[in-house]
Amino acid sequence: MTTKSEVMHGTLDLLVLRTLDALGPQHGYAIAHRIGQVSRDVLRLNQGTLYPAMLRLENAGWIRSKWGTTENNRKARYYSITGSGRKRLQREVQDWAQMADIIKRVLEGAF
Amino acid sequence: MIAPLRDFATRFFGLFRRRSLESRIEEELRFHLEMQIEANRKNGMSPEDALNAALRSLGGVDQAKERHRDVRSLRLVEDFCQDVRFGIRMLCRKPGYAIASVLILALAIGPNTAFFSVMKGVMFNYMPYPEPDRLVQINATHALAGVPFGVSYPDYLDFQKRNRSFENMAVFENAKVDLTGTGDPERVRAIRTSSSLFTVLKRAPLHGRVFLPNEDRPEANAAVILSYGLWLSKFAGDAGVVGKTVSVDRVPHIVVGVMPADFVFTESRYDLLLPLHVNPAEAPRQAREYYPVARLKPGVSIEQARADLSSIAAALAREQVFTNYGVGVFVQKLSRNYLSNNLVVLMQSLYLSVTFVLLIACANISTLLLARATGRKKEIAIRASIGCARSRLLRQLLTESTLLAISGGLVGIFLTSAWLKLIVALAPPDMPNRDTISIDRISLVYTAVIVIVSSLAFGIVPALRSTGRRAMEALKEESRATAGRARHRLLNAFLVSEAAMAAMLLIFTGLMIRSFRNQITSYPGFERTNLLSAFLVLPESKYGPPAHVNAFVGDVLAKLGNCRGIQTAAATMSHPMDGRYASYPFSIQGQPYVSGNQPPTAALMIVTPDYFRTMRIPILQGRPFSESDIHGSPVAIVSESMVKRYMADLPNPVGRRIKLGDAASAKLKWTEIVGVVGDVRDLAVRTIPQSQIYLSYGQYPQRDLALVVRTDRDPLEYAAALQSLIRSADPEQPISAIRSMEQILGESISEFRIVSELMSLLSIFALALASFGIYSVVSYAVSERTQEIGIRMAFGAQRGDICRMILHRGLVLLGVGLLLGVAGALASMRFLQEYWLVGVTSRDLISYAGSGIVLASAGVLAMLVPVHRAMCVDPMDSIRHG
Repeated sequence: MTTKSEVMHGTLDLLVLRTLDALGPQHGYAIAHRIGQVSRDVLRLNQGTLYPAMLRLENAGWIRSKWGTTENNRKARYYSITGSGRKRLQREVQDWAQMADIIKRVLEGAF
Repeated sequence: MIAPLRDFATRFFGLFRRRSLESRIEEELRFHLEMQIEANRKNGMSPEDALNAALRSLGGVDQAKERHRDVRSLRLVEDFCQDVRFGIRMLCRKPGYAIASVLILALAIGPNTAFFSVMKGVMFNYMPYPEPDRLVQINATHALAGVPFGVSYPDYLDFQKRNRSFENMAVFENAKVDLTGTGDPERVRAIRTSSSLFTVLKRAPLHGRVFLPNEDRPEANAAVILSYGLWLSKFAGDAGVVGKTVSVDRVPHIVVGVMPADFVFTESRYDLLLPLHVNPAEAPRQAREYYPVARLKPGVSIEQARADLSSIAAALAREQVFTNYGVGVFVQKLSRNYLSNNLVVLMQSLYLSVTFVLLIACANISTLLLARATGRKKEIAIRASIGCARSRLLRQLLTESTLLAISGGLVGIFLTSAWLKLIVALAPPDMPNRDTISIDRISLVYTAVIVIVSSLAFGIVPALRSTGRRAMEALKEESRATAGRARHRLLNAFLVSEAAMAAMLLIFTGLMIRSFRNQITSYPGFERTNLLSAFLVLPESKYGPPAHVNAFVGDVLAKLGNCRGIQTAAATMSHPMDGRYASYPFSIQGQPYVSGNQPPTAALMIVTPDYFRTMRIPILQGRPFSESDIHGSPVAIVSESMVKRYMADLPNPVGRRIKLGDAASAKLKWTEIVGVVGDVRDLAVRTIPQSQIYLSYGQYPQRDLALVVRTDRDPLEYAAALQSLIRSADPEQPISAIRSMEQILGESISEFRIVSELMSLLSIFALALASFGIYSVVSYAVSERTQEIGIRMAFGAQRGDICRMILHRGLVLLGVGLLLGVAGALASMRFLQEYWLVGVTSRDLISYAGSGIVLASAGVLAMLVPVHRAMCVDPMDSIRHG
């Protein structure tokens, strides 16, 4: 049984990986902003949970990070997705798709 | 690498990158905040609102950091390091408590580890050979024999040839030989062994070499290996002894090596190792005097070896029906399980005592921590109120306890070596494994275990108490009465239990000391001062015929009689302190033995005429032996108890006749009783039966004899004279064990002495610790009740009343503890009783009363300081400041 935090983790991980996959290297604020945008503010998550999540992803080897500079010459930490991160993203997307399919069939289909 | 493993690894290294990771998250969060504030400003918020909104969206900076910390490293480890740092700070804040706790624990751990090391060395078969579990010893068994016995040499050869379980076998026999050519001639214990012994045990010699396989042949040059003990005592530990020649049983042997101190593989100590040369003619299958040892082949279990040898034994039983019928084989690990029951009880009692000391120490430290906790109430309550979980607080407090315990353990180990030196110095010379008792890895592990268990034992109660719900309400102005009551109950319980344990220890010690005293002062039936004793074994080759023995003994006794300073001398088969007794059944003429009853038995002593005069054993009736008896009919002298027991209804024992053994037997002759003497006993009271029968040495000369000599002054002054006198009678005759009767006495009760001394020391410790505990508890009670005392005084209570009030409480608790201790002592007396209590019953009033008085006095003394403080309370001050 997945716990609530696991579900949350899973969702957040997916979002971060997707963002980095789509947009390339970003810093933390940009990722948070983007996720808020894309989900149309429905997922107005506590941004404080983002950084631990990204550190977790980094520990697992799915993203990597390093210091860089923004356009305004400010120092920021940039995250990018790795090869294994991409693989993980693929698998997660597949899992989600499968689950959505099953749920759809359960809700709509014949019993 | 799979993700969880990688995750763990990264977290692990995160422990060491705390600072850099911490600064990283701070920078990132700062950047994030700035960006968010900018965005908010762009949306039109005021600077203030922008900041607040940004903080809100982040969910609080500190919480974010906290969550980050959870992920970046192993949280538990980080927390633990933090606890340790904090704990050290806390302990240093009130160093008095910390130092006291550490010292108390060290005092208790020192003897604990020491005794454990001793027990381990003595009891747990610590064998210094590679893979000692693969070593076995082999004995023969028979349904009718009660215990396993030795194997015969031909049987051993068959085992060796036919077995499939052993990679190597060896065999040895015990012997006693005369060692001459180096200092005084001496009769020593030897082991004749095959050279394969050293291959089986795989232990290198200390100096020189071991026997070579070709030395198993009789034609080889005779070699001898010294034991460590003999090397030290007779050759002064000189490494140059290798290569020297000595005489063993008058045959020159070359010393080829010296074995290390722990090279022991058999029950008794030995002095020499000699090659085993077995003459097949002299070693028939029935001569079962040989003891094989073997090393199992790799992969073979002892059960398999047992089965293997059993089948060989069964085959031998079939093939050699006359000699091996019914003879089985017994295989067991080569371990020394020859510890006497008494030694085991000794170890157990001491171990129990030492554990008591530790328990008292833990109770003490618990008390201290509870008292200290009062001062930290506020700190803990505040931490709890800002969100610290109870488990976290508990961990913190327990970490502090562990720090104390570890410090105590470290200091304790220093004390351990002092204790070990003391114990080994006190130990009897034949205590097994004496030379190898030391602090080693296992002892250190044991100390670590004690440290952990103690820290839990003394830490858990104060920790739970400090973080419980009641403690959390300490921030409110609590009513002293309720908050303190539970703590008081606890402290009282500690006091009572400490007093009880100290009382038990004191009672045991008191009984031991009394027992010991009794042994020293009791009268053994003979006069034991100024009495010298020595042993001689006359070789059969020279002293085969009885006349020769009598001539030699007569010569020696005559020479001794002419010596200045020597009053009388005598020879005897064994004397009361000897320990070698033979109990014989006998019959009394005119009192036919009724079958079904226990036949009368008595200890047999064979003595020369002057024996009774020399030993100053009173002659109650009749006469002692005389010279003329030698050529007459057999005569005997009996002891008083023997008469009382077996001849009570006969009017005059003198003149009656007795016969050793069965009345009907024709081999032994009827012997006339010519005298009755007082009983003798050895001081341990247990071994020699009171009924004693003496025969005349002249009529039954013995080649294995003891000399007893009554001297004018200190007997040891005549040792050299005795030595030279024997030499003059026969230069090749060794004489051994020249000691005074007092010395022998001292050794025979050495076990008692050791136990008394060690337990006295432990009791002193326990008493000191318990006193300190009483002092702590009463002190704490007084400080808690200061306000109450002030109020009482304000209402007119006198100092005497206050004094009585405090003392009363303390004495009641002390009394309860004492009673519990007495009950505990009575209950556990059972297993002490048999051997250790001589002349005192387990309910000896003096011991119990004495212990009670000692403990009560110590307790009262301990209470004096706090009571004095209570009496000096200034009512005004106390009410004002509380």
